Amino acid sequence: MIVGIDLGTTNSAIAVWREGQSQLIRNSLGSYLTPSAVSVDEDGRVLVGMAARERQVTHPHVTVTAFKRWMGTSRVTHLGGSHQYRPEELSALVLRSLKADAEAFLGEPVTEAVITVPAYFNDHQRKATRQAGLLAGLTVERLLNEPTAAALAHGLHQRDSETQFLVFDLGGGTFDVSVVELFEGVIEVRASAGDNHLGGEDFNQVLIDDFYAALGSRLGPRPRENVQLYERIREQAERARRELTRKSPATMTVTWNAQSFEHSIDMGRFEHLSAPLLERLREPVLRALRDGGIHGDKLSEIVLVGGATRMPIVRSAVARMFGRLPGLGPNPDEAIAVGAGVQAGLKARDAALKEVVMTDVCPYTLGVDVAERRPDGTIRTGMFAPIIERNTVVPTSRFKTFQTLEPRQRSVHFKIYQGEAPRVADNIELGEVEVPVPVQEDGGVVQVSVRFTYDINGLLEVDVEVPQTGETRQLVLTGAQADLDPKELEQRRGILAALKVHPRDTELNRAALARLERCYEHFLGDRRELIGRMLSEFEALMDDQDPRAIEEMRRSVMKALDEIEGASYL
Amino acid sequence: MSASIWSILGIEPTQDLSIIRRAYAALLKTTRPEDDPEGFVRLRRAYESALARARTRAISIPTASPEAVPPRAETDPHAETAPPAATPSHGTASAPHATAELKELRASLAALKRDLKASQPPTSEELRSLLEALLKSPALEGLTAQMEFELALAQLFLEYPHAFAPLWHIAIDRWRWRERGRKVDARIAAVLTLADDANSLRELERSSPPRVYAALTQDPDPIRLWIQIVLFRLDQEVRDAMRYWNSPAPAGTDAEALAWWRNFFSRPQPRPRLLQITGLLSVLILPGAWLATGSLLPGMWVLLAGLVVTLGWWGLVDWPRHRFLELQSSGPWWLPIGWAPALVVALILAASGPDFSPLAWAAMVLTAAGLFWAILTMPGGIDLADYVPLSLAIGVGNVPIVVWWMVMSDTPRMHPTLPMWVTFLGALVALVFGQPTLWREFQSLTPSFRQTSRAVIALIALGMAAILLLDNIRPEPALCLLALLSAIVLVHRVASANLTERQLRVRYVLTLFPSLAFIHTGPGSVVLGSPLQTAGAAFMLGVALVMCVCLYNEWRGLGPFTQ
Repeated sequence: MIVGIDLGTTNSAIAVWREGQSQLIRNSLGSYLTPSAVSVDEDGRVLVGMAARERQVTHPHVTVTAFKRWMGTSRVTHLGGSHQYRPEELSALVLRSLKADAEAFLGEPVTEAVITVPAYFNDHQRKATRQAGLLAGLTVERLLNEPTAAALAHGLHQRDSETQFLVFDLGGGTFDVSVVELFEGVIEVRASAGDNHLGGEDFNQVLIDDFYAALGSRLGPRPRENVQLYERIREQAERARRELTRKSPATMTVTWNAQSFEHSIDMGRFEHLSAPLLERLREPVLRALRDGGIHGDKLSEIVLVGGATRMPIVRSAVARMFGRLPGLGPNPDEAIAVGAGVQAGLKARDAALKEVVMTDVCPYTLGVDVAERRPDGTIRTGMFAPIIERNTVVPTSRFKTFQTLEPRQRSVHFKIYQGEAPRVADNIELGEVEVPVPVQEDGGVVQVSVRFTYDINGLLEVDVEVPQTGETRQLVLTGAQADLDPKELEQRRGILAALKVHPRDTELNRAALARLERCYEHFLGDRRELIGRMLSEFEALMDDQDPRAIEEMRRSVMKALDEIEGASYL
Repeated sequence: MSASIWSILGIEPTQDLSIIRRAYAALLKTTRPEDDPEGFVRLRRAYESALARARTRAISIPTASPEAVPPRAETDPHAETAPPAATPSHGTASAPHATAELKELRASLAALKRDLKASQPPTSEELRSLLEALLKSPALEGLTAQMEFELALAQLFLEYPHAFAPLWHIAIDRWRWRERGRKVDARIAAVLTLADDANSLRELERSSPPRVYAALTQDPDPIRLWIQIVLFRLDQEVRDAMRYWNSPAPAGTDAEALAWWRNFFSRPQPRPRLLQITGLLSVLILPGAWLATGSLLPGMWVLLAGLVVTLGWWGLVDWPRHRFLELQSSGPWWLPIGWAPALVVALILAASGPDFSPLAWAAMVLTAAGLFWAILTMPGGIDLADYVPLSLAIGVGNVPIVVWWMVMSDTPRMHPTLPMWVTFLGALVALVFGQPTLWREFQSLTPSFRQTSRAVIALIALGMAAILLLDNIRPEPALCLLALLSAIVLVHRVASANLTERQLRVRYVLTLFPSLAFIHTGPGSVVLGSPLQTAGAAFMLGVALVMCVCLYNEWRGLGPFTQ
C-alpha cells in the first residue's frame, strides 16, 4: 500500500487514496496532525509526537523539534546517553510513527510512500528526506513539492476549468510559492520560489525576542542561554501567536524561579515587529510571478496553505500584495497531506485519477563553475555557467559544451553548483567531476560536454563527456549528503528499528502525562497543587495497569487541563 | 526539425495556442513524466517550441494598468461543488482604493520626469526627498504596482545617471535588486552595473592613500603622475582599479585622466621598475662614494648608467617588440629559439679567439644581438611573476659553473677581458631568458609532476649550498660532477615529461650547452672567488627555500602555484 506523507517542520500528517478521495489518517491520539518532535524518556524509550512536543518544555535537553531545518546538514543531536541522531534519523522516527498509524488504520503493511518536501529544498535536503524514508522502512516512490501537493489537492476539483492560481505555502519552517496553471485537465506548475528559512517558527522568535526585551532583566543572569527558560518562553510565544489570530492582545505567562512573569502583546505591535519577515514574503512571490510569466491580476485565486497562514498579519500582507483577499481554505495545515495522498493514488494508478496529469518544475538553476578569459588576457575564475535554468519543467536533460582554457591542459575539473548568483562562491556546491582530456600538442582546445539530467523528484544526475576520446565521468557527491552505502544504511535502519519505543496504545497516556508535567511547571499556587495531585494519581494508576481506570482518569485529567489552560496545541 | 515538432504533437502547424495546448494535454495523459521520462522530455520540448513559434514573447512584464483586466466570469464552479480542499469563491477585481493610489503614484512619477527635463532641474536634496516620498506610497504594496514602478524607475535612472547617481542605492536596497541573481530585467541589470562602478569609485575615494582616486578624477599632470608611478607603482594600482569596471567611464571620473591612462597602457613606457632600481642604487651609492672618494662623480655615473639602461631598454627592446608584435601577432616557429644559434656561434668564437681580436668583438656583437632577440621575443617581458623562474634558472644554471670551478680550481686562471666578460654575461643572461618557455611548460604540468620537480631542485640547491659553504668538503670531482649532471638531467626530464624525445633533446642541448661552453672560456672559474662564493651559497639557499615554500604551499593547497 502506498501512502502520502507531509513531513512538516512543526507537524506531520499522512493520507491515503481510497474510495475515490484522499483521506487523512488519524494517529493514536485521534488527531490528523502529529507534531514533528522526538523525545527520550527516563527509561530510555523514544517518544514521538504530542508527548514529545509537551516534553520540549519540561525536558528540553532530551527533546528536539524543528529538525527539518537541519536536513541536508550533518548536525548531530544528542538526546542523552547513546541517543545521537542525525536529522534524517529524527525524521525517520516521525515517519515510522506515521507508518504505524497508517498500518493500524488500514490493517495492512505500508511499504511505499510519497513524501513532500518544500519546493525550495536543495539537492542535499531532498536526498536527506529520501534517506529518512529508507531509514523508516519506506521506499520513497516520489518526492513531491509541497506547494504542488496543495495545487493537486486544490486543482483536482476544478479539472474542467482553465485558471491560473498561486499557492502561498507558509509552514512552520519554510516558505514556498508556486504559480500553477490548469488547462485541459493538466495541472501545470509554471514556477516555484521560496525561502527555506522563513516560517511560523520565525514569527514565534519575534515574540520571544520581545519578551526578552521587556523582561529579560528580571529573569536572572544570562536568561537567553538557559534552555529551560527559553523553551518555556517559546511555548508561550507559540500560544500567544495562535491566540492573536482570534483576539488581541494576547498574553504570555512564564513561570520562572517560583515567579510568574507576564507580557502582553497586541496585534499592531506584533505586525510592526514582524515587518521584516512580512517583507521577506514578497520577493519569492515576485520571482515566481515573473518566472511563470503570469500577471498578478490574472490569477484567479491565491491559495493559502500551511498553519502560519492563519495569522491575520500574513493574510493582510497577502491582501496588500495582490490587492484582494486571499482564499480561506478550511484546513490549511492538511492541504499538503491531502495532495500527497492524491499523488499516492496517482502512483497506484487508481482509475478515478486516470484523467489527472501534473507537471512540476525545479526552482533552482544548476550549473558549473567556469573561468573566462577577459579581453586583456587575464583570467577570471569562479563564474557560474548555468546549464539548467530555474523553473524548467522536470524531468529534463540539458547539456552545454565547454572548452579547455590552458594549452596543454591535461584534465578538466568541474564543480556543480545550485543557485542564482553569478559567482559560484555565493551558490551551493553539490559535487565535483574530473575528467582527463587529451593533451593538444599544437595548443588547441578540447571540447568537453556536460549533461545535467533532473529527474522528477528534483534529484540531479551529471554526465561529463569528452567527445574526442569518448571518456565519460559521472557526478560524485561531496559534503554532508554523500549517500550512505547500502550496508551502512541497512545498519542504521536496524538500529532505529530496534529502538525502544512506547507501544502505540500507551501513546495517549504518555501524552497526557507529559501535558500534566508541563502544566505543573507552568502554573503556580492553587492550580499547581491541583495539577500535582492529578499527576501523582495518574502515575499511580499507570503503574496499576488497569486500562479502563487509566482511560477514565485520563479523560478527566485532559478535561480539567482544558479548563485550566484552554485547548491543547491542536 | 519543425516537421517533427508538429508530428510529435500530432497536429497541423498552427498559430492557435489553444489547439496546441489541447494536443499537448491529450498526449500528456499517455506520456506521463513518471512513466516515460524520455518520451515526456520530447513531448515537452515539442510543446515549448510550438508555443514559441506561435507567439512572440507573451511572457513579458506587462505595464498595462490592472483596470484593463476584466474580472473572470467563468470561474465560479466552486460555489456548486463543495469539496473538502477547494476554496470558496472570493476575490473580485482589485479594490478601487488601490487603483486611486496607483494613479497618484504614476502622476507623481510623471511630474518628476517633467521636473528633470525642465531648465532648472531639482537639486540633489530635492531629488532625494521626492524619491523617498514616492517610495513611501502605499500603492507599492501591490506586487503588480511594484514591478511596474521598479522598471519605470530603473529607466529613469538610466536616462539621468548623473542626477541619480547618489540615490540609486535607495532603490537597490529597498527592493534588493542585487540579490535577484542573474535573470533580472536588462534595465535593472544596467543600473546595477552603473552602481557597481560608482561603488568601486567611492571605495577608491575612501581608501588611503587617495592617489589612485586623484589620478582618475583630476586633470592629468604628467610630472606628478610619473613621480607617483616610479615611487609607488601607481600604474599597477590604476590598472587593478580599472580592471573591474563594467563601463568604460564611470560617473565621477575625469575624461582627460582616463584618456591619459588609456594612452599610457596602450604603448610601451620606460619601465618603472628599472627607474626604481636606478634611483635606489644612486641613493645608496652617492653618499657612500662621496664619503669615500670626496666626489659625487661615481654616484652620478651610476645614475646616468641607470637612466641610459632604462631609456635604452625602452627604445631598443620594448618599443621594437611592441611594433613587432603589432605587425605580427604570431611569429614563425624559430623565433623563440632565434637566440640560440647566434649565441652558440658567439661562444665558440669567444672561446677560440685571442682577446680584443675582431673575432672576439664579433662574438660580443653577436651575443648582444642574440640577447636582444631573446628579450624581444620573450612574451610578457620581465614581470614579477618571472622573478622566481629567473632566480630558479640562474640557480640551476650556476650548478655546472660551480662544479667546474671546483674541478678546475687548481688550474691557472685566465684574466678576463671585456669581450669575454660580455660574452660570459650574455650567455648567462640568455640562458636565463631561454628558461621562460620551459617555465611555462612547467606550469602546465600536473601538481604531482611539479612537486617532484620542486623537490629535486630544492635538493640540488641545498646540496650545492652545502658544498659551497663547507669549503673543506671536496668530494671526488668526477663523482660529484656525475651526480649533479644526472640530477640536472632528471630535473629537465621531469619538467619536460610530456615533450617528445626530440624536443627534449633539443632543449637539453640548448640550455646546457651555453653553460658548459662558457665555463671553457675560463671566466667562470675566475668569477667565483671567495666573496662571490658566499654570495652564491646564499643565493642557492634562497632558491632552496623558495622551492620548499612552494612545496609546502602546494601541499596545503594554497598559494599561486595551486590550480
